Amino acid sequence: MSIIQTRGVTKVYNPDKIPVHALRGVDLDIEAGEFTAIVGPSGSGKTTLLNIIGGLDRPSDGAVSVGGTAINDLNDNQLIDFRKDNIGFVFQAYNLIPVLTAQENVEFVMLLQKRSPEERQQRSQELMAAVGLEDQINKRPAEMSGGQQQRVAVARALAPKPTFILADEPTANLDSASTNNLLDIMARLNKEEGVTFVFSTHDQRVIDRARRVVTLDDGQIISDEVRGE
Amino acid sequence: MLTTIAWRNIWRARTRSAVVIGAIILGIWALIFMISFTTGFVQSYVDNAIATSIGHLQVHQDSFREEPKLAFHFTTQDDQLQQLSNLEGVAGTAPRTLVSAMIGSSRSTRGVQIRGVDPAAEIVVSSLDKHIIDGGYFPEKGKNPILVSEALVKKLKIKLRSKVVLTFQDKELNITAGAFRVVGIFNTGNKPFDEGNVFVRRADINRILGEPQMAHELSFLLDQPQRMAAVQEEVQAILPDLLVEDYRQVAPDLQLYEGQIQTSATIFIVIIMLALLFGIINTMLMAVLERYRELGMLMAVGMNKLRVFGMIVLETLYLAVLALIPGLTLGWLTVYLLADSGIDLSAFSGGLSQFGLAQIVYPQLQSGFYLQLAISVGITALIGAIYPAWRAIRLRPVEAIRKI
Amino acid sequence: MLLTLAWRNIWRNKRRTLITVASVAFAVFFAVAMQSIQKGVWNHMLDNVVNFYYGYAQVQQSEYWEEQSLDRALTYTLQLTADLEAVPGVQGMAPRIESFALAAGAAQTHGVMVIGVDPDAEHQLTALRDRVTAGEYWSASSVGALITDGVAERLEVGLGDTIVLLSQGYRGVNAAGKYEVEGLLHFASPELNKRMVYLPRPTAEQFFGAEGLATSVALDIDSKEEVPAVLAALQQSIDTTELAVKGWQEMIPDLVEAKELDAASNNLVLMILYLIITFGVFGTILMMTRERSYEFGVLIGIGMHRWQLSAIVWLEIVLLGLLGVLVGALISFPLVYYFAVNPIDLSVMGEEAVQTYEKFGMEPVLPAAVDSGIFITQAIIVFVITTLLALYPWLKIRSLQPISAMREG
Repeated sequence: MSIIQTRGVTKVYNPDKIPVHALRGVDLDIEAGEFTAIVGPSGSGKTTLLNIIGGLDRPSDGAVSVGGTAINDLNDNQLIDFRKDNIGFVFQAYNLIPVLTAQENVEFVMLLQKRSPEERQQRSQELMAAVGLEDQINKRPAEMSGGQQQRVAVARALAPKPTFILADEPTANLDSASTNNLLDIMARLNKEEGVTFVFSTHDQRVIDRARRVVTLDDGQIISDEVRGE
Repeated sequence: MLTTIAWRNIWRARTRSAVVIGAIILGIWALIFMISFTTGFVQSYVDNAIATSIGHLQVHQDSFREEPKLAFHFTTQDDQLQQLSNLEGVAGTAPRTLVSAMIGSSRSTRGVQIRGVDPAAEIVVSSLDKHIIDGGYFPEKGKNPILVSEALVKKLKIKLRSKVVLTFQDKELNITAGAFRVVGIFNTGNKPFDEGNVFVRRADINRILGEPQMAHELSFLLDQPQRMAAVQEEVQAILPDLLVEDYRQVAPDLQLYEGQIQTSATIFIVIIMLALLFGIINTMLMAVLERYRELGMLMAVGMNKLRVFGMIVLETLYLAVLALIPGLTLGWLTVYLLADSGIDLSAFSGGLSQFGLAQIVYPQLQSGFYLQLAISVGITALIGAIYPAWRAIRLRPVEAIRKI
Repeated sequence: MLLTLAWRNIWRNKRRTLITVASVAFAVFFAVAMQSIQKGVWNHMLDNVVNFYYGYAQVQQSEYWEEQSLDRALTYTLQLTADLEAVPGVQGMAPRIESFALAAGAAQTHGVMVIGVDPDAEHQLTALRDRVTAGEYWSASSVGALITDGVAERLEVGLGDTIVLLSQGYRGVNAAGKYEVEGLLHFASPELNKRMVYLPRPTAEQFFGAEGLATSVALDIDSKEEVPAVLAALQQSIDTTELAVKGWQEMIPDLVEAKELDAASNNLVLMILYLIITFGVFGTILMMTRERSYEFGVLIGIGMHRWQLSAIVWLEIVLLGLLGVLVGALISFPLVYYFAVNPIDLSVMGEEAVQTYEKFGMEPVLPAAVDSGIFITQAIIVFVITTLLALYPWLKIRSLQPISAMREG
């Protein structure tokens, strides 16, 4: 079974005044181990779709299940716990806690999950190594480059061993070198560790490396292309 | 233009502006309330002391003021008293014979000061008759009547019409005694005074002392207090050998209290203004720091440092003015409303009477104080603006624009 | 980790934190200074009266307090001594017989309080011997008087002179006697200093014609804190139809009330001060909440519960406040301590100030009280204020939409 499954998902903003139809019935299945980019012009609904898949927003209609759980049936607090344990987030920018060091940022979600200090310590070091930042663990976000920050964000997203990682325009604020570096890391994690990635992006560099590209326009999927390696 | 920008800026972060304005309003209101309360409190004490015991002016023999001995007395003549009472601005003149004595009932004894008074004159000067709570004032006739306070009545276990014995030294220094009958019981609200003083007719005590016209004290109540200094001179001219003093000289503590009003007002103002200063600096600093980019842009397009500085100062002043208007109004209204009804402190009546203070305080405030307050707030705002404004002009436009 | 997070967050904006901490510290400093002086002055005044005269508790004939008459004296027996001594907490006792009298020197008279005491017991309780400034404290055979320097001045008498006392004795008999001044005493309380005349108890009994009687028995109790327990125990062990027990607060109710009045007016000033500081701290919280809404959104997004986030923010605000308390306390402590050891002497303000204080029965000194309770109270006040203020970010976090919060950021 697909780890992400949406059926007839619609989203209407402002339903009382001037309705804006952000999504008009999206059916999407994403399998474990995919490396999928969701693309489309501004206003196409890709961020809305990502928010709904990530449990940050609720659909106006339709059903969303993640790892077999119908997340639209969860209440707010259940949803928060669900996100914490099942979904890793990488946002556009500034998404690290500025007063914590890189390693502490990675540990943070595990702390919320009440993991033991030894486990947190061990896993955060592994993850920092996996994103190639084992020598930066005690730096604070402000002392790191944007690319390094995003790599820490990936490490943090991986920390709770989520079902998949959702990345909203992860390269939007990065230069080419940093972008390639980040994509290399994500591709390797995808291939070697089998981590599922879902991006929203309109960065061609990211689209070129995706193995499946879902294109959205005006709230509907207009193409779904699966590429080989 | 500068004023328009400044004015609009303070409405940009409404909640933040509202917090500072609220703090200043509260500060102003609290100051007006506290100081009007203090003024009312002290003034009632001073007025009460003048009206019930001291009077505006007092006359004694020089040496009596240093040492209240029986021998340091003077002699009164009726026509002279009349002349003194007729001086312009004088409401009344009351001569008193003051003797340290022991009062004894069949049950107990206490030490007191006998105040021998002329009944009619005393009514005018100290309103003694108004403080009678049981029995009556001195009768026309009847032998040796005495007025005793409610506090003393309890201690001596006596009641109306009880007989008490006053024991004291006469002028030959012999111990002598006289029997008096309680005709009235008084309560002035000043416990130490009440416990330590009894009133008899001056004629009675003078007869026992063997000096019909003697007095130790002349107390004047004025109906035109503003003529106090002039009356003092006129009285001195009529009684050249005696010491004429106003109430401030008689009871220096009263003057001290009157001075205390200004002192405590100043202390209150400084404390509250310091407290407000923190809030103002904090707020304006935030206003500057979060507008880094915008200020940089303004400076880049050619607004000079002086103007930027002026704009920040102006914004601060606007906040102060916006707070001053409702704050002063609210304070004035509070004083206005409370000036009639007063604030009832009778829950503390025991403690208040211990120090001779009134139970109901009528807040009052000199009008000059509102101006003093407005200036203080203005100065505080100016001081509070300096640091944020200085931060603003230290900005380098290029950096400011780059910084998001 | 939550504590670390909160602590580091506080220092993200150092300048703002410093201003906020300084404002709280200012309020705390001021409150501590004011309350320490207030408490010190009143305790000093009450102690003057209580320790040097009334004692913490007295046993009296049940109607004595109302009438204060010799006729309401109690019979001081060995049995009574034994009964009282049996009460736990009672270290000793000093029987007294007292009444007003007119004292006369060669040329002057003055109303005084004559008090007959047991020399040793009285010294035990009120350290009377230490108050002798001239002459000698009584020996076993003494029959003379110890008078305060205030009384001596009024009567124009000195050591070795004779004073005449006149009063009404037990059951209305005339009381009169001549006594040699054996020593001069000095009391700090102006009220006491101008009226006390001490006689050995047998002499006083003779003077008042009240053999074997005492108007009160002052009890020696170690500390103020023990008084309620001792009073309760006494109620059980004495015959309450005959005798009454009076605690010090009962004996000076007006002073206790005046102290409360003064405290109430001080509290009003402090309340206003704290309110204004509250506004300032609220301003800080307001800005902090706003500029961190993106961060709040991210944290909720990655799976932090709103209550966990609120707890961090609450912790930050409380830490900020308590930091202010700490700084304020650290600054005020040396000052308060200094003035506790070296009371402010108001006599430098001139004779008038001294007279004014004396008129109210106070010494013209302002000692400060060092009382950890004052510091703790400030900490509690600030804790409550900051906790209440944390409601604002809590409300904000409760209604925060992570998506829109992040978009605005």
